[in-house]
Amino acid sequence: MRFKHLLGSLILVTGLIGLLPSCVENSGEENQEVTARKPVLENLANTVIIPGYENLLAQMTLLDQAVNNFTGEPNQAHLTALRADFENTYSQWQKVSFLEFGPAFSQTLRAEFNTFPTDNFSIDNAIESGEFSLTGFSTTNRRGLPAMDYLIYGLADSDEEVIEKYSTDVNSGNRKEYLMAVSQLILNKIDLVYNQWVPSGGNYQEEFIQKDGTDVGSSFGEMVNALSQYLERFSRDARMGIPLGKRSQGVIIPRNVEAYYSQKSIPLLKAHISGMKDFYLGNREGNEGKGFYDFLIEIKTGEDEGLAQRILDQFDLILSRLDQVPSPLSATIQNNPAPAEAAHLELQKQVILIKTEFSSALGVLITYQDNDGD
Amino acid sequence: MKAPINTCFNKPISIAPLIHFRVLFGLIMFISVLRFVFNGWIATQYIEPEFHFTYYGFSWVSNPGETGMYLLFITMALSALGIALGLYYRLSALLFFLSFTYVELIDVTNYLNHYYFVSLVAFLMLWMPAHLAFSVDSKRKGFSISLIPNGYVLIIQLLLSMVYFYAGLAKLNPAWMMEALPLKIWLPMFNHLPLIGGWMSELWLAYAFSWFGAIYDLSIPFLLFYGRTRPYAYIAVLVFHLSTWLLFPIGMFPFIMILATTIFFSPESHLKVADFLRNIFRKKSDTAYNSSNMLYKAPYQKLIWSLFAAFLVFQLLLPLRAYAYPGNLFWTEQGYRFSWRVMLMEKAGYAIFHIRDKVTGKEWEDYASDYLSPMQEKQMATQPDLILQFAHFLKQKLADQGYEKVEIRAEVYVSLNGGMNQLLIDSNTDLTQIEDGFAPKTWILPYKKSL
Repeated sequence: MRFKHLLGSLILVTGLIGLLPSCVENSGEENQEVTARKPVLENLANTVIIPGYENLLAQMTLLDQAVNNFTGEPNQAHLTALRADFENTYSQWQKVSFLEFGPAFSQTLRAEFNTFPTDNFSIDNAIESGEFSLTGFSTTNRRGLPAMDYLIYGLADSDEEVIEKYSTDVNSGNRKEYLMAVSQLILNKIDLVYNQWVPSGGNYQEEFIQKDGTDVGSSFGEMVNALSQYLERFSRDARMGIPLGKRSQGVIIPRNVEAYYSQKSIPLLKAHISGMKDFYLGNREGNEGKGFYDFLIEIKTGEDEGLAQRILDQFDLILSRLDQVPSPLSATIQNNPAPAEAAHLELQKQVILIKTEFSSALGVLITYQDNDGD
Repeated sequence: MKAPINTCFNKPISIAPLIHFRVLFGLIMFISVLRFVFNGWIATQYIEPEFHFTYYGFSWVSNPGETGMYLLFITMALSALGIALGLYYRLSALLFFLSFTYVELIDVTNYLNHYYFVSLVAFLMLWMPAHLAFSVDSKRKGFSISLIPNGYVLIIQLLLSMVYFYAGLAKLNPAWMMEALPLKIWLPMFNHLPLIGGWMSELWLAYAFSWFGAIYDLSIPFLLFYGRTRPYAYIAVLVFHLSTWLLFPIGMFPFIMILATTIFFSPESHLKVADFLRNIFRKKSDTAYNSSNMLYKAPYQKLIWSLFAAFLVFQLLLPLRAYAYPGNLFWTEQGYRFSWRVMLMEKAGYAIFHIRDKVTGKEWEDYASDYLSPMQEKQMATQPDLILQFAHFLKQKLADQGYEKVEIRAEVYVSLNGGMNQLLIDSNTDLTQIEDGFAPKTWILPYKKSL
């Protein structure tokens, strides 16, 4: 590849020398700043992605500690603390969930962390029988954050009863073990992914920044493809469209919302969209840096159409529509789906923007296959 | 008028240019087939997708399954080698033409202009006496020919000229010439390259490339035909195609063109090259091309010339059909294919299919990504005829699930050359009620220039 680039440069230089004289007057006045993907990649890796994983790892470590405290001594205080850490972790997860490339992709981080709806019957059966194997891809719907959501919110209506399930219940021993196992598994996963990114570990950071082209294996190519696919399948469909019955012949499935038992679907979706927005901007917690927004403005593609700003506005529009969706989402879908439909429509519009103008402007390829450019 | 054309076709020339073309064509096809196979594209393009988009009138072409696909590709590779070696040449040429064309006909979304070009050349090769020298066949039979009527070489030269000329003509549109689109979008993607990266974001470069490309395509056929300009023209061919190879993922096309255009060199030059190669291998004997002085005489020469003439007329007219359709060609793509329109636009789309069950009145959505490969989805979402085919596929799929009476509407947003996305087709049209055909598709919405 490198050889091809160098050779290409040489041949083009030879070809261009002939063209140069006629254009000399132009090159002087239009001393454009060279736009490059590298600064964007550096910023995204250093201020958004790695700190995002670091934060998730820290939250997850706290959550695992809270799980141990609760299982060691099941009481109201420990349950409340556990739930608080759970919500923080779930919220932080939202901000990195869509980064399905590099280590997160090879470790199938999304499936490990957030396969929903969770299979509560299988979880109950496993706890009852005491035989649970949580390895293998087929068990992802029995673990991760959605399984925890069930285990700390969904077992009973009152807190006392939930605590009883971990203290006086005949299966309390198995249940504690199950909860700890679920927590441990995702803690290990995020630890693994984080360490594959940082320079002291697998240093994927460097590889990520080096791959600054737009071909299929490039970081831009991977990010754009991951972002558009995630937005379509998981932001729009899994979190909104599927519960609304968009994918099931119009039959609503309210139980399929994210975080069904804790009823945090809407705050989590908002955290998710603002996480994506920050990623698009290249910002994180007030740290402003270069993201796709800045890149689009620099390369001037779609400038006349105000593309960079329109995508940003669309994120804001989704967020303001979500503000109008009453929690819990599952009940809203059953009783008054209009605000949820409105939010779905705005998510849909973002999918369209990302899949058409955004992809065009960045010129990333979707496959290695030859094409005619048409 | 008739006499000069006659002389032009029947004038005896050395068989060398044709033989060299045969060997190069066979070899580059053999390499192309191997490259396709080893890239794993048989699986991604022909085995994994559950649905294939067929060409109008060719819906009978079906995917023969995994074993069948591999057999087709093995046939293709061996027959390409057969062409190169001149081994059972006519049979090899026939098998190559059939297997290659069949595979191309399986799925429209795999359409590439250069695949179409290969099919056309393979068809012409069927009628060529390209095995009568420097071939296993001629060695075996102890029979070779030195001279052939010029028409056999001329037809390939004319086909190549048409490819370039029509490609150039297609570039003469306002977006390409006056706005440097889509190169203005594509070139900045290469600003990370060493040496030249800095220039890639310059607007003048996009204009220079656009204009150079158009002038090159329109003039190169003439410059290649004319002896005094030919060497310079060939250097331009090398620079042009190598640049496009380096910048764009257009596969084998540049190499096919670089090798194919050698047929423009005079028979004398071809003989010199043959002599030169002989000397390298220290063979003192005469080259295969002057061992006999026999002129090839086809039993039905007039018939072959008529066939070639019909072929040329057809090729000349086919790209013009686009002008019979209303609207912006890049938007509607009616008559877009088979017309040497290459690298002309940046187009991306997204399709939402709205299903309504006429029995229950229930409505829901469907998306192509559930059924198609990313490549198929990308192609489908920008081409109205493919959207229609997909809607009919969905209708069949739903009928299999027990939904016998459905309406299917498509909400398709397309961005052309980085412009603001807009609806491609009328989203109120029930596509299950529409059949494809050559008539203008009235359900395509007009293109509104953004700004």
